[in-house]
Amino acid sequence: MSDELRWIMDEAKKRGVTYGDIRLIEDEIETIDTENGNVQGIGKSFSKGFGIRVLLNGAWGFSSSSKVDKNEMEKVLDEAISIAKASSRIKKEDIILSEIEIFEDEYTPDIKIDPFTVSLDKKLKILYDVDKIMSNYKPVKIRRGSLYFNKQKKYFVSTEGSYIVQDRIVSGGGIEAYAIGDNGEVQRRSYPASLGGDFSVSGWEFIENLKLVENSDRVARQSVELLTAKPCPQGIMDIVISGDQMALQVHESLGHPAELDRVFGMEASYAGTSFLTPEKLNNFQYGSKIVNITADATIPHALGGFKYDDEGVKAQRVYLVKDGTFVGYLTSRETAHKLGLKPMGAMRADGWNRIPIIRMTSINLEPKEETFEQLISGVKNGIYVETNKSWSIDDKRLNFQFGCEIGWEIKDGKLGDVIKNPTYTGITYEFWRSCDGIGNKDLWHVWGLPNCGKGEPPQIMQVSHGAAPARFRNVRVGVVR
Amino acid sequence: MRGKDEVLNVLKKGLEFSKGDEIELLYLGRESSLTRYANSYIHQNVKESNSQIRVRVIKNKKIGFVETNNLTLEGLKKAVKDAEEILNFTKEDEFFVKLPDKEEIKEIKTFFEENLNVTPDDMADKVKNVIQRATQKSLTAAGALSVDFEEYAVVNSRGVEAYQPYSSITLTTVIMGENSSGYADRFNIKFKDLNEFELADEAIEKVLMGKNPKDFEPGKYEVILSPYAVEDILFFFAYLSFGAKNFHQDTSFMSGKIGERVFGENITIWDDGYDPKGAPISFDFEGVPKKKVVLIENGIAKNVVYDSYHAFRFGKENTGHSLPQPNSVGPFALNLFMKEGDSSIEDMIKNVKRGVFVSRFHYTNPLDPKRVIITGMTRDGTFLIEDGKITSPIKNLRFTQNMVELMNNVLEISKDRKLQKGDAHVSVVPYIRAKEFNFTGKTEF
Repeated sequence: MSDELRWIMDEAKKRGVTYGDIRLIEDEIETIDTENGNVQGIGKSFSKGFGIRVLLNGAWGFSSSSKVDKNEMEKVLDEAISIAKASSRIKKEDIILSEIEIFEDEYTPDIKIDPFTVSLDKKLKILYDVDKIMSNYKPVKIRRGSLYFNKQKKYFVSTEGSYIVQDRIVSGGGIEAYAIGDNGEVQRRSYPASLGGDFSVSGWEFIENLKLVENSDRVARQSVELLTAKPCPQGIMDIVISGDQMALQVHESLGHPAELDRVFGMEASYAGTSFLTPEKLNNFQYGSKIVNITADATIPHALGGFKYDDEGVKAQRVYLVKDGTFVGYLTSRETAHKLGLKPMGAMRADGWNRIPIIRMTSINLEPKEETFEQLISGVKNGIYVETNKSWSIDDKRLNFQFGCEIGWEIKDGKLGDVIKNPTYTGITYEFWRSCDGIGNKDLWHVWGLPNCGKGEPPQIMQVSHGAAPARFRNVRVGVVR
Repeated sequence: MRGKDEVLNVLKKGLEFSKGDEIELLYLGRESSLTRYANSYIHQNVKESNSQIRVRVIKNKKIGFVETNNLTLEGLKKAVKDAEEILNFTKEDEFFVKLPDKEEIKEIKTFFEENLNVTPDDMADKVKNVIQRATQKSLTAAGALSVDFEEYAVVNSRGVEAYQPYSSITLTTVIMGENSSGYADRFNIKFKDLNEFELADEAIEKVLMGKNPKDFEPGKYEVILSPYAVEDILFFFAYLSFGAKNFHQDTSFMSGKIGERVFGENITIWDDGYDPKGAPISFDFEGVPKKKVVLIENGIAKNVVYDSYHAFRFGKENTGHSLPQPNSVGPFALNLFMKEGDSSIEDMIKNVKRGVFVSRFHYTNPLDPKRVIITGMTRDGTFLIEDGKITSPIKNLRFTQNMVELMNNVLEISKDRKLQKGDAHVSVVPYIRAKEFNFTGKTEF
């Protein structure tokens, strides 16, 4: 295949493109879903295709096809060129790409057990065992479990001489219990996180380490407890937030606003723009002095990690927030050039049929020193919340509101009664400036989020967030009516 | 586009490969061109072409599923074989009865060949017209124009054989000034019917009205919600409430309430996949013809929608609302209509003593799916109405609203309705005026 890919890039050069690249991707996915002891679905999907991106007359064109042969590649190249010519009729200035180091490399991540070699019997046994334990709780009317495995081979070849082949294996899974009360009230608990669970660039060993069976009794029991729990208090108070919820907090309130294409307005017509405008770079107090947030695609096994992005830029670790100051963006070669920055490698596409756009890598709230007990003991009157239930943020990423599955009162430094339907809301930078406690590295975990949406046509991306529990002061806490 | 004969021939070959009791093959083909613009220039311009076949095999109530985009005979044979291998490991589904039987499908014209002649330059011209309109007012334009062709086909071992090609055009724009923005979108079946000038003017009007928005305290206010916002609400009812799975799992607000009044008497909502005022499609993803289903009639809960699995399981009529199987969502109302009222939008504004006009919602999400409590923000034009007139733009607000309560608080409904495309569905929706809408927060712009 490498000969064909190099050949079509030579053809692109002959046709006069300023720059061109081709990505050829083969994907295999296995999903297993159970519900109430039944198999909801066992599915396998296979996909193969390629996409060609060209820069011509200072503008982009992209086309793609699932038919992989030389004739189709030539046809798709010509389509991409004619699209770029149409784009160039309506441009403000020529697109210029930052210079990058060119690599020829093949990469295979460190996987212990290929999940595609593990029998369906073994996979299903975990989910059946979870279901059996959860079924001991009568009010738990809906019991769900899911496992996900993805194997990918991706070729990237450019007119600049890049030739990169990357393999990737992803494993993930999670469980859910829905308790339904006599009055019709529904309460959900999930593990290890909501939105499908936890995911990693790992093999079957990751699933075994999730300990889904061992956590199923607690998950079911807590869903039932929530039916009779106190409502969440309302008012301004201190809040300690679990690591899995902090992952989403980082995602929405820093990950997305730090995407430089969004900052430049390229997402304005869809999910909006960003308050982190260029004059704020190195010049804006995003959070308190203890807040350090990195973009790190080099973390082993992180779902947002890789060796090279979809422009052939090598994975990096950079600071986005350093000692509370906003210091970095997620960039592409095009956007980095506009601000005179070095591209940090955040361009990814969710498949062969999509153009790469700026995506989060692994965006991490760096750990500090506190134990969980110390975080809680620092609160006189407040709440502790776990596991995301809902999320919403305005179109400049300022006003946010999150709902969580479960909370506990904190009174005089100690956890108290369980509370239901906890929510909290704030303005992003005011919230982060009120952060006065972050958990230590023993509490820190890289959470894999498989479903970050962005762009038109919509692209779903695998990203991750390292986070530990953290404490915030004087936050507006509310309750669902 | 492969065309009816080629697609059905491929699928029928797949039927022959199966050794199971039953087999279904679903074809989803798509060619899509999308021109995306921002800051008044084209920044992304893409084309894609892909076809997938989803194979579902059943033996002794065990179900296996495989999806592939390798449409060669070898690819198809492998997909069927892989699906059958799954049967060795999976459990019986005691509630599965059978795949749907063949029913007569009424043909609807949903494909217009003239759209195939649209070139990247034609698309750039439309975008250029929107940008020029904005530039004339010293504003900047962003948005996307997509030209899509789809082919759906289903065959199964019980004789179902359905094919429908589909063409559509979607144009969106957000036009922005220094501190205000306006949104508009259009969804058409024919490219030549797309009026980009009218779209630009609608968005520009909101940008100019919205200049220098003032701070506004959240609280409970009377509201007028535009069709863009009403579509968002109807989506959540479709997703959380109107499907048989949620209904029978007791996770829908409609659960156990058929025949009871759940909304105000002025609210009637139905699903109709055949009505040409919407975006018709004649069958669902199991090849079952779509039936009109009245969901809410004069505020009374009447029905929910079914696919074959839930219809057999609960002894109900299959209404033709299956999503591609298997799925965890259950049957889905994809073609919603909300009954019009008799008011004009001008009169609705005149009837507000003090309230808020909402052009659009942003980033809505359910806090309590069963009670349909939704939070979200307003965007692209939020206005204060005083003594029957829009008096000033206001900064965007957060709302946390029980949408079932909202549907009991509707005071007035517009006569005009808009065809509105969501992410995976379409709705035909009016403006509504409602009391006591719960704004719970505010932002800085």
